[in-house]
Amino acid sequence: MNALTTHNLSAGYQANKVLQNISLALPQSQATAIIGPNGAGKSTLLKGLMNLLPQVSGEVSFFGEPLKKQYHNIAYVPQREEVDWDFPICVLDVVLMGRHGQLKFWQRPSKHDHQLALQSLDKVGMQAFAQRQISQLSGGQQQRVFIARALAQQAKLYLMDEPFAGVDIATEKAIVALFKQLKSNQQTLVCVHHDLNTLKDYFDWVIMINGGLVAYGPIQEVLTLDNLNKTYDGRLPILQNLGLVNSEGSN
Amino acid sequence: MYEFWIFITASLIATSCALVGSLLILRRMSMLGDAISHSVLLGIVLVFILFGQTNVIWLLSGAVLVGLLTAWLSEWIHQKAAVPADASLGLVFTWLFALAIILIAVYADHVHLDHDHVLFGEMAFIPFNTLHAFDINWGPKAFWLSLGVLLINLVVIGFAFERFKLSSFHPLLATTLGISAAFWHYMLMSLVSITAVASFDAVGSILVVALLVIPASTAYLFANSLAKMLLYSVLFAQAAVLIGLGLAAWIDSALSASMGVAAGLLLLISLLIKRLQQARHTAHIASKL
Amino acid sequence: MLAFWQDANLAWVLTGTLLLGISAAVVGGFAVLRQRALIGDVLAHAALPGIMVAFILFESKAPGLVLISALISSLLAYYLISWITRVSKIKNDAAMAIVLSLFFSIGMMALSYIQTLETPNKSGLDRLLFGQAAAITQHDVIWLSWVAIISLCFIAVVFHKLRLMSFDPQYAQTLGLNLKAYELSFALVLVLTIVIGLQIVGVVLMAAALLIPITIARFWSQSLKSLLVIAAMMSVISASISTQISLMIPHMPTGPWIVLILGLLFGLSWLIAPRIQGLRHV
Repeated sequence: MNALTTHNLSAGYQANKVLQNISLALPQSQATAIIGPNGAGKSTLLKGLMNLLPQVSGEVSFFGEPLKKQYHNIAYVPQREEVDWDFPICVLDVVLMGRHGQLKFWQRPSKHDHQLALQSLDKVGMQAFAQRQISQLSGGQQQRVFIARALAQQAKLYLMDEPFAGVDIATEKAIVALFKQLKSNQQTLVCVHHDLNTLKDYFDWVIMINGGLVAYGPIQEVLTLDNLNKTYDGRLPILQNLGLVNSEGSN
Repeated sequence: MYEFWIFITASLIATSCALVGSLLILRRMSMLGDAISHSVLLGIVLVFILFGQTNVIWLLSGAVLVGLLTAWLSEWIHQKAAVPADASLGLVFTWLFALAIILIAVYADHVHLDHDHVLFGEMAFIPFNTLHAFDINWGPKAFWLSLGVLLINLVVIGFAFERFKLSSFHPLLATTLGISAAFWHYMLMSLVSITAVASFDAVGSILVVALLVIPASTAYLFANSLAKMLLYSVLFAQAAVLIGLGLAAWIDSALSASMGVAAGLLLLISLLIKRLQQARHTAHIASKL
Repeated sequence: MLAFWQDANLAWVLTGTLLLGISAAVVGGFAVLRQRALIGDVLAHAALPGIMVAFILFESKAPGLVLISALISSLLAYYLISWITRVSKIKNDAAMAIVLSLFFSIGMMALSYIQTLETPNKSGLDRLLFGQAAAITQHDVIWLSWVAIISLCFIAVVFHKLRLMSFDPQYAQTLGLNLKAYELSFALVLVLTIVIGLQIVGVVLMAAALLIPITIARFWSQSLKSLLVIAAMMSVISASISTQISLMIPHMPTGPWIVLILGLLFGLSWLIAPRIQGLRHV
């Protein structure tokens, strides 16, 4: 069964849609990158999947079911800039938030929840920071806390909005190691990604968008010069020099 | 003559408010207008206590000082104490207002101000408090005060139109061009303060907010340039005054409140019209696709 | 006059202001953390038309009626703000100022209409504008206690969810939480607290009772739980002192003193807290 299928997913008002008619199907246990130029709608696609936008049309299903029935299987990692990092809360409490999807409104996190939260922190190398105030974290540490929060959800599918944006090398390495671990545990990853240099190393599949869907599939098959030109409106001549794509194009 | 003086004074006040309010909402500082219109009370009370009378020049300077103090203090606390901007604004203006109320209570014998006056204003009494000089009755004092304040507003905004436009739209760019965004910010705050104090007597502190923000927001829905926005906001303000007077006469209610309600009705109608237009526009595009 | 105060009445006044102070500090604390510090100001003003219209319709000032009518009109205002910003390009700050002044104008229009009526017992409605702690009766305190208990219990029960929503509402939605239900129930509790507060501190100063305590507390702690406790303590201090002051000086309003003292506590904490804590970087 596919981890994620969309049919004619569009977002934005009719006059100017940010995303147009995206239809795709992603198998399970793959790491997929969403790439595209600035303003192509990469973050919008993730938010559209999670129904976080006011104007979304089309169908989305996770593991064959609508979002409503699958919240517990999906973990979303927003961009760091979207929250107030001066909020009075410590790291462990932020990670514990990942457990609240399973808790009723009167329930408190149990011992088991605490253990899961600490394990998740450990996986991103942040266990020593559990009692730290979030205002004292560096950018990379903030990112790792957000990923730990998603891990605490014990989900099957992880949607991450630019996890590598503006992080230090230690964090990047920690996240890459985590990706490998998640994949070996048969979990599915979908990330908005900016850095074409690392694309092949970190991911197996790619979704190329520029307003509409340009191509998607395994990287070896779809990462062609032709598709890249369509995605980036022909503004990436440097790719040939980097040897990322051979100049003949396909395959 | 009685109705005429009320109408003309209200209309002058509404014009001042609309002009200043347009600049306020473009800078996303509407609540600062609310704050200043409350805290100028402290300026008025202090002038009463210190000088015992309502000399217009003292009154205006007192108001400007307290208005600037409100703007500056809330910004200062926001930056130095890392308090969110809206919280520091709320802290400053409620504190100054509370101080004013306490001073009124302490100096009750010296200050001829009461609570109701502060919130309602006494528009219906405008024509009775007249200016006498050289043995001639020159008409209501409130009229001359609001005329003077309107002239100041017109001169400053007219003279510095481009400056206001630039520093409202893009303060950082203005700074890189060598224009002091701070100077124009405090200039606008001074205008808000004198407008608030001139309106205070006639319409009360909350209606000042209504006249500052509502016609300007209505204009904002339709205008596509600053000049047009200023023009439309003045027109909407005049309409609100006229409809408000009618409303007040019809159900025998307070003049100032009725004008606020009229302004609000105009805004809601405009919002609905805009909404319908938008729906039609979308339908039009959809049919093309 | 003084003798009258020293009777049982003082106890009621003090209990009333204390209860209000505590629940306002805690509920307002969340409003400030959600970066909506001035929402209390708007909702307090917006409660008036409801109360006035209810009086015109039913010619009564029964606490239950006042509570429900104020609740309805404040909630209407709460949703009108988000409607205006959603359907038009008017920004949030302007929408707040619009709703505040429009609702207040409607309230004042209704009040001036009421004053022309021949209805008995219409006096006391304008008391809502500036509040009058001195006029609190045993009857009022019972209402106040219920509201305070309900709001504090609500906050205690859904504390974790409220914190999650305040910190990262979008993420809360991706967990499948029913954001709208939490939003509505928080709005209800906020409005309840405000409506009760109108009687004591009045429309204009209600905002201060909601937002200053938590702002003071932020100098002293970094954890949300202790922040809320400290905020409640600040309210208690200012409420007790101001009740004492209005006891000693006749005709002295309590509400403004509460705010004045809260402001002084803010200044004091700002000066002292960093020195005591040492570590805090400003």
